Amino acid sequence: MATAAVIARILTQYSDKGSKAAQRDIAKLEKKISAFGKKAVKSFALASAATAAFAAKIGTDAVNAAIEDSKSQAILASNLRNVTGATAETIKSVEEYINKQQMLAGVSDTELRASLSQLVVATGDVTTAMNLQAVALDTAAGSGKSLSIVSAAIAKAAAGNFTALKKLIPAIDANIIKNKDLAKAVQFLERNYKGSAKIVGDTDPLNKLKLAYGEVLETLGYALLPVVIEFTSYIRTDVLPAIEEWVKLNEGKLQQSFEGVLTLLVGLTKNLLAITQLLEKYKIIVGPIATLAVFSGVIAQGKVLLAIMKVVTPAISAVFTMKTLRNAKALGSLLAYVGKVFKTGGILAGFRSLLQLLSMVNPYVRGFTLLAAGIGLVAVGLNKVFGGSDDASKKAEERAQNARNATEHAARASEAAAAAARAQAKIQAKLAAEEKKREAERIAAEKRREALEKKRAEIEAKTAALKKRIETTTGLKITDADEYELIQLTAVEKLQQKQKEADNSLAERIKLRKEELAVFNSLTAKTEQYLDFLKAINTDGKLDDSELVKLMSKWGLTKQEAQKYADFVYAIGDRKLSDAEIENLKGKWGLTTKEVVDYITKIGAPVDAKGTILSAGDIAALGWRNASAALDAYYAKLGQTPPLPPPPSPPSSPGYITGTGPDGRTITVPKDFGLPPIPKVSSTSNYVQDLIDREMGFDMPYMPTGGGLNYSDVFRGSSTLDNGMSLSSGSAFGSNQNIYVNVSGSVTTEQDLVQTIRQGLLQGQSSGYSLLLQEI
Amino acid sequence: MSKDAIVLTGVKETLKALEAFDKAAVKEFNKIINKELATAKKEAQADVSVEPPLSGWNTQPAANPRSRGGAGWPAWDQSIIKSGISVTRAQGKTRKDYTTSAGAIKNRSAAGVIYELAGRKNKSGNFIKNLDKETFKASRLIWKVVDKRRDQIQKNVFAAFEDVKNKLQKNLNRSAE
Repeated sequence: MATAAVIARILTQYSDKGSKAAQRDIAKLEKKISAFGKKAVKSFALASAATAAFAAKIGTDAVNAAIEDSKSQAILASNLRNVTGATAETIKSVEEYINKQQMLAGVSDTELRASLSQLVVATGDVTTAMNLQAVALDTAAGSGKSLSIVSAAIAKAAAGNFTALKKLIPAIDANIIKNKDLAKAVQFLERNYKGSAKIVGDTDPLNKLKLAYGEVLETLGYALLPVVIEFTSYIRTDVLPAIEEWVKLNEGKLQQSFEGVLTLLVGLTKNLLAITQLLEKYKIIVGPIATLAVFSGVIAQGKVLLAIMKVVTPAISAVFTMKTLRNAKALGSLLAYVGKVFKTGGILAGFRSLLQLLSMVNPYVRGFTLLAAGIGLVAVGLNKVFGGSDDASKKAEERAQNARNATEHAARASEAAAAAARAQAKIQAKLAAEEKKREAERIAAEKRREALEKKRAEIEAKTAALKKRIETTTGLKITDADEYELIQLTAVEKLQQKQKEADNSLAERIKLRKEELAVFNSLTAKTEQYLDFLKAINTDGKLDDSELVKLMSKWGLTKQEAQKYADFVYAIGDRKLSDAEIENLKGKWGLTTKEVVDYITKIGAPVDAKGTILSAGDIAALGWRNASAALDAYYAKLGQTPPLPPPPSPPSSPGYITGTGPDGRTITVPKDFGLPPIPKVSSTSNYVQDLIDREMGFDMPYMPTGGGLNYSDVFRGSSTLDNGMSLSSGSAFGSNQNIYVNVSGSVTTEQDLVQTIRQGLLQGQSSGYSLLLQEI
Repeated sequence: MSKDAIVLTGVKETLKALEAFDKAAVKEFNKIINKELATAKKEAQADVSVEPPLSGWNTQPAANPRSRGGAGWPAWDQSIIKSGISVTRAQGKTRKDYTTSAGAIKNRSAAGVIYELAGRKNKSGNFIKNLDKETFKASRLIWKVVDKRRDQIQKNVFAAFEDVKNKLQKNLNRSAE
């Protein structure tokens, strides 16, 4: 896994790479500025449209106000002239009176003129009318009714009709009404409402301000209307296109100029708003008329500007990064000064200061900000947003806000749509990949199945061909495959059974072999022991102590046993046993005759017993070998092959013994076994060797010669055995003889063979000995 | 990173122009930069200990590596880590502020990187806790040296660069006369 290196930068530089990256970014910036410029044009177009509307409205209001004022003046003057014959001076003085009364009573001059007109017409006298108007003003202020209603009621009362007055002032005395006494009615009203107009006027300064502003409006309306019209057309036809052209021309320089523009614009807007808030606070102090419209205009225009900036600012901020707010802060402080000027020097002075402030700003920035502020300022100066113009500004602001919301919404919707499309595409791609994978797996599985089918078909074809070939060549009919399993299982069963029998047979053979081996070892040991003692015994029949110890340790005998054995060996070592020797042995070892005979039998050495102590049987038992040997010697002299022992007689013959062999078959053997001829003793001087050879040949039918078991050492003659096997051999123990085993029957197992041969051996023995299968 | 970082401007162009007049001055400037960087490198290498910072950190590579994509946990070998700390004057990537490198220290060995940065972002785990306890917080080798000596190195190099610029200006003035 490769590990990324950690790089800790110490020195930094601008380089070609950075410059190229910056140039690429500026190229992108130019595109964005163009877009910004267009947005700005649209935004200012919005402002200019609103301004134009304001201008038109204000102009209209001002003109209307002027017209209304003129009309009311004209009506009053006409009435004065017609009713009272007033001169111009009188009319003028009346106008002055009305102007004063307006401020004192807080009633507009139009109403005053209308009221005075009614009273003049009703009374026919200006003075009376003016007095009655004063009463009417008090009554209106005190009763809360309008001046025109009260004036009309008094005028009717002056004409003799008190009904309206009664309705207006129910508390008036009925007699006055009945008597239609105007003087008393006026006294009543004066008594009840005198001074009300002044009081109300004093407690409602806003109304006075409004009235005063209305005067101003009327005046301005006459004066500014043409200017407003000209200005708005100027904005539409010259200013806005200039902005667009300006943006195009100055795109290349905008990077420098617009550094901090965003901050400035935002700061300007915020400060304008702060100014409007300040002025709004101020409006209460200055007066409702002058301040209300102005501040409303400023506030509205400021709001419009703010709305515009909120639309424009994100576009700018996407392009630029603000590094410092120093300029904005300076501007803010200057704008705060402007606010103070507003407060102290009046509206126009404040605007002038603002213009001066803006002119101090970077010319490129000034172009924007001046224009933006100028529009608002002019609009304010013309009082375009007074009264109903608030609606236009609100609508403009709403439109700007809606535009901004729409833009944001569109952007969000677009992003959401793009994200949804990306997610959908991802899901589709994933599904397609999974489908592809599944298809590949299916194809692979199909291929594997086809390969398997093909292989199976090939095997079946080969099997069928093989079966046909076997049937053709061997003529055998191969069992159906359905029976294969049964056949196989049957074969397994038989095999297992046979195997079991074979195992049992093998176990039996092994057991017999072990027994034979035990017998062999025992006989070998016996002979070796005999020979050892024979060699060790001195001529005087004694054993040296050292020899005794050796023999004891070798054969595991006690001293007594060793000495006893030695005595017996000495006695029979010459192969003769006399009575004296028997008696000696009997006396020395405390044995009976039979015990002596048995001991000698156990030793196994051939002995020729003479004397009277032993019975014939004993003698025969001890000397059967001698007899057999003698017979062999005799036949040898004659040059004839000694005959094999006669075949067994029927089982009932007294000369035979019947028994059951290891394999369960009945065996009949003669009591006196026809021992095979004793081998010819070699005429070598080694008596012991001769003895060994002879003993080896006698007693150990399975004694190996030369290390291996050789049946030729055993068989000496030929005979026909029960199972039809015939044996023929040479002769002589201790020498290699060829024994021929002719099998005329059948031998199924090795064990059968062994048993048969054994029977032959048993039958061939003439001494009557039975083979001992146990260790002594 | 210090807020008032010094950014050298026009190093390559200045040196190239000066080389035409005074090669020795260019060599001297390069020598100053190389010397400063070499000092920082030696200081960083001196912080690499012979013994691993944690007792369980093997000094031999893993016999049957399984972690880290088969590479296994890197052994702590002081010589390998030291040899992995080097200096470079290659420009490298351009950042968003359009600046590139004029001299930096690198730590490349796997064990060195792990020792340097372990715990800088993810501060949980016994390994980080023990490492912070035994040694320092993250930024233990080269960044430690850089944070300590960057201002001084920048000051020295900037002074040397100003000197180079002055020399170039003098030569240019002389050639213009």
